[in-house]
Amino acid sequence: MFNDLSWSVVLDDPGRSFLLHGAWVSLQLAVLAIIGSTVVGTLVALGRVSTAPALAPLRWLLSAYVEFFRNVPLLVQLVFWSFGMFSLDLVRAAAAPLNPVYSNQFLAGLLGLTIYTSAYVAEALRSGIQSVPRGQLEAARAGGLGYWAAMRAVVLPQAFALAFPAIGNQYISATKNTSVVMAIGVTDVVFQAQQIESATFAAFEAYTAALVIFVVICLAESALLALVVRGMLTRVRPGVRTAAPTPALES
Amino acid sequence: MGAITDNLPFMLAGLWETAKLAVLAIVLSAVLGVLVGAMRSARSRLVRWPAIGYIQLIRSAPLIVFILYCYFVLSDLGFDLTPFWAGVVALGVFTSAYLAEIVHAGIASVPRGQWEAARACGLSQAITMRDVVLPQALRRMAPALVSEFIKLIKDTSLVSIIGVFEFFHRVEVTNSRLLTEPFAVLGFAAVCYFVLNYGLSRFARRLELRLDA
Amino acid sequence: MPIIEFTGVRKSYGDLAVLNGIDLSVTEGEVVVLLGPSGSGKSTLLRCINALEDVSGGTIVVNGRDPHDRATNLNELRSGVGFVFQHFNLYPHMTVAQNIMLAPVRVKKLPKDAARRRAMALLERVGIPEKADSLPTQLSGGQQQRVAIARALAMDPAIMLFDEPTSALDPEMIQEVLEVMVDLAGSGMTMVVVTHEMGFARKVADRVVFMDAGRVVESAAPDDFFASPSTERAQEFLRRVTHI
Ligand SMILES: Nc1ncnc2c1ncn2[C@@H]1O[C@H](COP(=O)(O)OP(=O)(O)OP(=O)(O)O)[C@@H](O)[C@H]1O
Ligand SMILES: [Mg+2]
Repeated sequence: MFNDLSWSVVLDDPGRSFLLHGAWVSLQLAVLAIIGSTVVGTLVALGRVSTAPALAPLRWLLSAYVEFFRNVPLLVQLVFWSFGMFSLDLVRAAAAPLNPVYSNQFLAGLLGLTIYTSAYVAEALRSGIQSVPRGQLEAARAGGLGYWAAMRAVVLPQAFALAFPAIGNQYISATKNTSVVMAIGVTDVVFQAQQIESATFAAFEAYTAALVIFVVICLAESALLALVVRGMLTRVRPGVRTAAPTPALES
Repeated sequence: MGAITDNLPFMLAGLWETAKLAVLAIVLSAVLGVLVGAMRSARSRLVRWPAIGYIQLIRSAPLIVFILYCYFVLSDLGFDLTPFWAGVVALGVFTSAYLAEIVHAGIASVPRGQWEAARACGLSQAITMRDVVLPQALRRMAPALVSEFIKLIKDTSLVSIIGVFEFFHRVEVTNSRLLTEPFAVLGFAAVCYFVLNYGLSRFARRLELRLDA
Repeated sequence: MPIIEFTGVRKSYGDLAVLNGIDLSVTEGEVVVLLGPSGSGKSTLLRCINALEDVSGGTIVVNGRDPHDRATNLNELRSGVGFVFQHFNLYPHMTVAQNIMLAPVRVKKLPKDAARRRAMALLERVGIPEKADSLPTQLSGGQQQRVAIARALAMDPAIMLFDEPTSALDPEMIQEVLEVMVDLAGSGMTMVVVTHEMGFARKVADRVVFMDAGRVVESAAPDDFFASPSTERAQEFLRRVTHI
């Protein structure tokens, strides 16, 4: 087949605009899931490192969340959100205001991906928090700052800097994981490539195009993350040279 | 509950397929991963660079694209693989790139003195690697390897998209046949995966503690 | 009127009793040096004063408040007590000035420019105004500890606690930190200092308190204590520290 490659199926319209549209969907999913999982992951990590005896049930719940969602395949979770949760009228009604912009499949995919990635971000950040020396929290408390104020001003900035290489890996994983949403009918890059493939039988061209799009996005993302890591770590641990995320890390 | 019990034999039959997929892919990934990881750690650029290319290329790809690639493109190239074997190849090769990085890091963590001592006794580079360095590196790598294998088990669900009739594929079929019981059916699938993977990770941790003791 | 008062204070970690009924009072303006062998509970006692540790029994009154009473606002109480750690614990992601300004801005809601002026005055006092905009890691150990003292002073505390402030320092830097502490003692600050610097204890302390196995074994003026410690344990301790 390599002697009659037909790159025009991906380089010319309609294939090209299919793929570009797919790329735009994938990119939105990635960015929104990264933002969402950073917020949720931070809250979960903070809950897990809390020490108040009254919060023990919360800690148990959060560690159950982290263990459960990391040990169940993303695909299973996405199907659950899309065919389970989004089959409920209640959920559909709640999502209705967003439907002019985002389909229910997209929202289910985003929700699933965010919740899945949050569990990993939470673990990375938790170990970051635990590697900030105890004396830092104590010094801030001794100055009269409350627990949350001390966490926010003193511990979290350092924890983020220390955990950022690991968190960055999770961002890259999340970006690659956006591709799984094609299985629930979101029109991402891979979905579009599959459309092209089934219309033209040009499998090599279609999937290579999808691959190239992902490689480009992930490379750009790693380059960006490497810059952030360098900026962060030089402040917190000037002596330490940490490996920056390299092109494509976790899956 | 009836939804589950009535379809239990049908769904559980898929677990056997999933297990075969996982075991074969783990074996393939382990062989390739150790090989490429050792190459990645070699002194010679001629050996090292192809390994780096292999690792970087595969790690830049989302697994789902890789699976579609293996299935459709390999058959275009004349390797007519069944969906099952395409799945084994895709999962095995894909995971091997991640294992290779772990193996490389493990090898790098063995002190140089170990190399020097072995080479000083007259052992060749390959023998030193196989008999002195790798066994030590493997011990350090164990936790990372286990989490990579658990990832592989989760990833077997993805080959349902090329039509492998493994566990999750059967769950989805059951789900769309029943139509009214998504929570029970998908919840059941989630719990199965959780029990399997969480159990495996606890087991591995116990084993590690025993080895350390 | 004592500013710190311990009555029968007990503290244990599980089965390990670390404080075994401590009675101790410190009056305003007094400089107390805590001595004792390693593991005798000196740090624990110090950390109980500003509630970095909670206690298992007895009562503590600091500045008229009980740090272990639920009704006490701990943040307010801690603002009135400065704490200097053995390992400085400066915030590595903030400049020296920011380290000093954090608590005044966040707790006392002092405007940034006023806090900055205050930070500069404190740096002047500890002798390193030129380091205001450096990061802690760019400073020597002695300079870092002086910043930590300035940081503790930023909240205008009535009491300053020091937990082995010179133990992590290279010998040539000990003096510069001790000088700041001597100066502080001279200004009338109430201080409780855990240290192995016997010279400092002799010259600056109003009173030496010797602890062993979670108890206060001896409490005396430094001259008396060093000349003739009345207990066997203290004699042995002094023999050991003065012969190394
Ligand atoms: N968080 C903790 N958990 C359990 N035991 C502790 C804890 N902190 C301190 N201890 C124990 O309490 C005892 C007293 O400790 P403390 O730090 O108060 O001694 P110290 O007199 O300051 O000794 P040093 O001169 O070594 O600093 C020690 O036996 C120590 O091991
Ligand atoms: Mg101590």
